[in-house]
Amino acid sequence: MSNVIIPANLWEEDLEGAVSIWFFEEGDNVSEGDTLCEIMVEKSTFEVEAPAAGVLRILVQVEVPVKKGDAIAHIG
Amino acid sequence: MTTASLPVEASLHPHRPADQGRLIASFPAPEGIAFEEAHFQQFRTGSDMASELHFWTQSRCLVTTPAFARRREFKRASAHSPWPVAVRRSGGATIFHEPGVLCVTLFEQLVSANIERAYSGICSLIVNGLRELGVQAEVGPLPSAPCDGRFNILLDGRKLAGTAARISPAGNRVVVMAHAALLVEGDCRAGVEAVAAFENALGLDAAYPSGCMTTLAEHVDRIDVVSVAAAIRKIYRQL
Repeated sequence: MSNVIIPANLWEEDLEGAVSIWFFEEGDNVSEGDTLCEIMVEKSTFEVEAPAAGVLRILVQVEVPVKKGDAIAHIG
Repeated sequence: MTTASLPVEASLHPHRPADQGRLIASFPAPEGIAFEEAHFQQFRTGSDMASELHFWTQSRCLVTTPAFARRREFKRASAHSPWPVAVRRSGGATIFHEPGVLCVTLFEQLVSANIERAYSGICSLIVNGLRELGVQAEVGPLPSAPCDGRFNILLDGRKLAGTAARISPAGNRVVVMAHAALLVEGDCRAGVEAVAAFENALGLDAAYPSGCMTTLAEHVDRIDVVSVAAAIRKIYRQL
């Protein structure tokens, strides 16, 4: 099981973001390096990649606020 | 933010080796957005350039975000908008494009990126390019304008250009796409009114004062998108 965590260095500022879109659905098989979702911070969009291959379990739905270091999904 | 400083990796070419074809690509909406997306994916996956700069325009349309496109009112609001509505993947809110709006897209490969860095390249190019034309613009927020952010290009306290950025991991680097929509000529009041009408139809409480945005043509004689693009490209080539 791998956690999909918003990297602490994805943006430097102490700002909240929100997942703007998931490119996969709950239970989908994903490959390492797949772009899983986009996170919107201010007017900037950050793409988050899958750290491992497996089945996606989404923990944070679209438009829910997130911070750096938050786990937004599991891949098992 | 007046000095552009694009980091050039030793293994990368600093710029496109030469300009191919026309300076500005023109599209019927929403094909400009598809053009930008295709170039972004190409740059992200296969470019050995440290950066690329593109200029493009498209026919009159509103450009909005996935978040707004998910609203239940979106279909009806789009159908009733006299301006066709397109959706882009970068952030912000709703803006308008038309042939007098110069879209400037800068792709960069960086070791790491933060929000300030993502915007610094495009903002510096535009501010310095406008200075070549005798225009003293600045970077900053304007909460009364559509699609506000910290990195608008402002002229005399009015919004001249909006910006947005997209940051994507690419191996041990990140690829940044920074975009600006620069109002060169045309009736920006009509564009602002169209944005407000569309966003209100989405159920938002949009009210933008008349005159919150401006065009370069309101400040500079005989200006057009080609001369502005040429001035920005001149700055880019000097980096």
